[in-house]
Amino acid sequence: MTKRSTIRSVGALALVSALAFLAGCGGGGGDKSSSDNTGGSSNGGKTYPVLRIVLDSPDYMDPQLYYTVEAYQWMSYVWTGLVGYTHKSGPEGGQLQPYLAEAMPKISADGKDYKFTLRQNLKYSNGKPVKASDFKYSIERAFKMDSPGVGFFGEIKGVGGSGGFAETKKGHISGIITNDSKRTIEIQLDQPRGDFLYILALEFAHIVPTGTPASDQSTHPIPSTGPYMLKSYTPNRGFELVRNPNFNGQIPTIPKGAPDRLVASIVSDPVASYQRVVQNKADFDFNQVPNDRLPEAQNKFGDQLRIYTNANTYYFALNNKIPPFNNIDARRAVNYGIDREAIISGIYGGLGRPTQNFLPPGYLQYKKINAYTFDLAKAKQLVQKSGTAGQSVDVYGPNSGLSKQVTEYLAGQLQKIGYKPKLRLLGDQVYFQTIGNQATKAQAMFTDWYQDYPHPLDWFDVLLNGNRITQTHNNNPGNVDVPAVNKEIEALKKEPNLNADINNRWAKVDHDLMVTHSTTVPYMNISGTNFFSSEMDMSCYSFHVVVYWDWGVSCKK
Amino acid sequence: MATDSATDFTLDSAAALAADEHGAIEGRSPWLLAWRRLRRNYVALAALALFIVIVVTCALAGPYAKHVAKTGPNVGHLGETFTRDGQQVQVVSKGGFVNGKFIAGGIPVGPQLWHAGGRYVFGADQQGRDVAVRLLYGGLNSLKIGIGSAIVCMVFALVLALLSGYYGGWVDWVISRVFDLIWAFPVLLLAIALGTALAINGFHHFGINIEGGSLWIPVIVISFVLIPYVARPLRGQILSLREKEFIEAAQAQGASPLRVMFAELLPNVASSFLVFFALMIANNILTESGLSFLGAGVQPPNPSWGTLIDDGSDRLVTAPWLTIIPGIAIVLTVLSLNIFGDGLRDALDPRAKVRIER
Amino acid sequence: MLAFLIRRLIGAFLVLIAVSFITYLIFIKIPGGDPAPRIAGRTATEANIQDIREKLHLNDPFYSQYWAMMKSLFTGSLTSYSSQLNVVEQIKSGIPATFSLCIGAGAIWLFFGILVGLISAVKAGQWSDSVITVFALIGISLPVFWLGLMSRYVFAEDHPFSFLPDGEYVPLTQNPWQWFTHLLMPWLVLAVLFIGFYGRVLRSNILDTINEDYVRTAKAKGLPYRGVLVRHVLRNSLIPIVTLFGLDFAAVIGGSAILTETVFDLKGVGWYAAQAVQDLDLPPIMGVTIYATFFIVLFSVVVDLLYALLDPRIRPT
Repeated sequence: MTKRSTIRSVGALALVSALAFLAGCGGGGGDKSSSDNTGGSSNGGKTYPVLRIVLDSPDYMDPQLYYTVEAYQWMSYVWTGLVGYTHKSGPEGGQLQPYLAEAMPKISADGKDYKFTLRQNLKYSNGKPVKASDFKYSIERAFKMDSPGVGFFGEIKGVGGSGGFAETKKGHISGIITNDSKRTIEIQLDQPRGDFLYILALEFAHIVPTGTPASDQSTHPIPSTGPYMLKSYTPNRGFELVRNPNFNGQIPTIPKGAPDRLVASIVSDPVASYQRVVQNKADFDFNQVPNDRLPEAQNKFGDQLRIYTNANTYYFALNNKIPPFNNIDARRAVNYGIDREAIISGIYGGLGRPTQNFLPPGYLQYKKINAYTFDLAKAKQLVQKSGTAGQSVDVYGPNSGLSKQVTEYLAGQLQKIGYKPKLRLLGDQVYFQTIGNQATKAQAMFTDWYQDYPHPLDWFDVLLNGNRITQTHNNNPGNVDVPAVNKEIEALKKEPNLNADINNRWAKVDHDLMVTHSTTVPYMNISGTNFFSSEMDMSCYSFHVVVYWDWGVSCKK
Repeated sequence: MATDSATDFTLDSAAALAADEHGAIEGRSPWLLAWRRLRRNYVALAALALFIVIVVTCALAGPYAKHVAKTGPNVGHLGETFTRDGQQVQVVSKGGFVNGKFIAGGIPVGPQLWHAGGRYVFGADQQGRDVAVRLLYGGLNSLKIGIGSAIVCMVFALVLALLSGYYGGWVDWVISRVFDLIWAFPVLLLAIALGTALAINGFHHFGINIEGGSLWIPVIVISFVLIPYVARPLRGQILSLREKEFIEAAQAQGASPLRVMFAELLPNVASSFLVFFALMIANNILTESGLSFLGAGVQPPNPSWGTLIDDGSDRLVTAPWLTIIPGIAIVLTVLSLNIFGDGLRDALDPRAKVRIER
Repeated sequence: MLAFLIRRLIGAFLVLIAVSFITYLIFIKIPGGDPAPRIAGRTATEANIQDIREKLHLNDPFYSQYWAMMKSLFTGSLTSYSSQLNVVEQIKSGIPATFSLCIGAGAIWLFFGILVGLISAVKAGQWSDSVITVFALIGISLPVFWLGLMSRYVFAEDHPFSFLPDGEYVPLTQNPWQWFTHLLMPWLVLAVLFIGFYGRVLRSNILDTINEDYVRTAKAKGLPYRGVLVRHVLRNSLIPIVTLFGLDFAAVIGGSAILTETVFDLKGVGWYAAQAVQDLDLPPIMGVTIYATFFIVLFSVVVDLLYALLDPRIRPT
């Protein structure tokens, strides 16, 4: 049992979107107990009275603010946006569908103009009609609240630059033009973005009524457009979802929802939440089943356990700008000096797959890299060659959970290959901002990334583009800055469509950064657990790329 | 007139005392008498012996690690194997996806005792480190902090109490107010706050430079928050002693304040002081383990009994020895100190042992 | 009496200010504690962060920041850096758990502590005294968090012995029986430490008092032994216990039950404080510190008054 409530025990600060099972996921379809799950079927429209879940604390219950899986998995059925994901398991789930929009948008040839029309007769849960101008209000609201999502909307006209809405928060965003009577929404961009539709599917772009206060409304549920509405939320205690009386199937692309009610209890201790499900006091445990209980869960409750792999990568960032890791041999040494299999097998109990790529498997742009074997002797040799042997290395990591252990492991390995590591562990809340600050001068860091949406821009542009390095809140804490690759990323950013050629270019970016320049040390794509009570009928189990376990199409015995 | 039971004898208790002693008491110093009583308290002596054994064992951490376990306290062996009774065994069990099926792994090996030739005598932890080695090194750290902070605390408390009790007046007022302030702080919270605050970057002010991972940080934090607890009772004792005739006599003889404090007052509080000291070490070991458990004490990867329990707390089912063993170590050490401290108090203040008359 | 109270109140107020200011200073000095980027999130823009700094007065000099924080704390509008939740609300929601834990445990340890002390004093020197002493000593030698972990494992998780719920707090109003069963282990674990300690203090006090001259006088006067025991001996021996209890109780209710609350996942005030310290989250730390200091000061006044009541030689001055 852990003694601190680490929010996001699976490490996601970002929205997790899973694009699973193309290559290398090994799932045998339909293999019930404890394997990758590819099976998925709708429940044939059956409903049941109540679904009880236990989960760790979500950050907010306000669509312009929440940014954790704990919130998204449930709220994606409550508030919706112009577009959303297809509710099917497997890779198809990554396709976008019109939700509140009546059809996919008309996109101009230069990719800078998007035209939507809202469906007719859309209503909020309080009966009031959904207006086109509500969309504009929702985006502006995100800016007014300094939402973490505003970075995604930077390319909308009228947002950026001096005097832009992001700075002044006054007036309106000129790049969003709406007409309530015609139900039209037009979005103009300064630059084309290949991933813009995915951005519109993010929760920050979900539509709320005009006039919703521009402050955290988590405890004052905002009227919703999806099949469910938030009845109540008590921080650190729980929340409840009930059916939206005014939904009436207004979004045909989203399931109507199987449970009539969803009752959530917030339990941060994963052992306690696991016990709840074992004792049938809850139907679903969101928290990762602790390694301590995995053998028992597998042996006694194998039928109720599902393991999934989603789009994430765990990697060690090495500071490319300061010694010793500004030296490529030193970086290579680390890549040879860690035993990826042992990390997963030992620390993570086997719940993961080793990787040497930055992109997770399942992406069309993923080409498996197999350049490094675990070789301590070679690592030591490289360290000697680099001339950095004996240097002290500040190793940063979170101070609790498995992330702490893997950081300790890294420090141990650095010692073995010839460095003098100094471990510095920080609380979750301050960790990322500390390593994101250049002044910290961290040399080796634990970090991870879960995709916001299934597109390589979300990886390389956000995390490894040298042009986007900043002094503070730097998302590229390794200061990876390879000019040729930066140029390629910028070029690829403008491409609106992903075709075979573009995919190959992305794969080359991956290879260049991981092998040729050995900028970073990726080691694992983590797997997660879904643990259910004996009341759940597992034949309806469906795993969705974005929603994870698609509870909307579940069923009970 | 209130009787001060700490220093007054009654006729009966004196008689009982005399009967209790197995030898002459006339002309013997109180210290010798105390020593004789202590010598007869077998339980207390056994406890002291246990404590000494524990300290010595921990002091042998280095040789043990080098020659018996053949590894260091922070050296992990994930992914490696070792030999037990001629067979190769994984230090930490392998897990993962095999043919699409998931096997749970990550279970460290349990106490091997002597089957592995001295390695993993108490088993391994999740990183493949040798628990017995970490137990010994951790014990060293816990003992250093426990004893170190007791010393620092007692010294400061004693000096402050002497100053406060002897001078009285505004000196006493200022010092007492400082105590009040520290006392008013929620102690554990303050210790955790200080420990966490200083853990990463250390303390670099006023010309003092202490690194973040240094053991001095828990020592200072713990001793600082506990000073009022020791200083106040001592001050009380000194205040009452101060009015006694022998102090007046010393001052009349022209003794300087320093001499009065150290030559007259100090010996009289010495017995309380000694008892306090033993109990304080015990208390501080417990406090340090609590702080380390919360991450505000000894910093990883350095072991202490508290951090060992913290590390082991998430493996209670698959690796219970990780939590049980360090806990037992703490209990034995603290218990032995408490028993000995008790015996010490009984020896120095015999009236507590006198039976109730019916 | 009135003068005493007034003087104490003023003193209490000054103490609160001093404590809060010192706490504030400790955390201001910590690098990496800048909350603005933390609140803004991983993909925030520079504009966001500047905006947040303005809103939180982070660019002001430290004393006006302190003043702003104190003001918002006492008007109930202070929000935490890490979660945007209202600090006072959070503390309030943690109070039921902490109060339930501390009052229950306090009652248990006071009662059993006195009982144990009495019995071992009466049977002083006999084998039952030794047995009790050993148990008491073991009790005060157990790390409370370790005991909590072990008992959780044995009684709540390891079938087939587990018959108690595994941690967490159920409000009394929601389900009294569950409230009780969920708190049983935490109560006992928290009380064990104090029972041992109080038992021994009481025992040594009683044994000291029993030989005082005035006790002999009472017996010589022909008073029944029981009466003597209770009226004179017990009353005087209990005085230090009263002091101790007042201060210990104040400490645990103020959040020093952090370890117990953490191990049993009781989301009380102590747990909240531990979280906040971990996250270097200043507003809740300030809030909890004020809350805790308040109780400590309150109880020391109460204890002084009780002391005066019980011991007629002492008058509050």
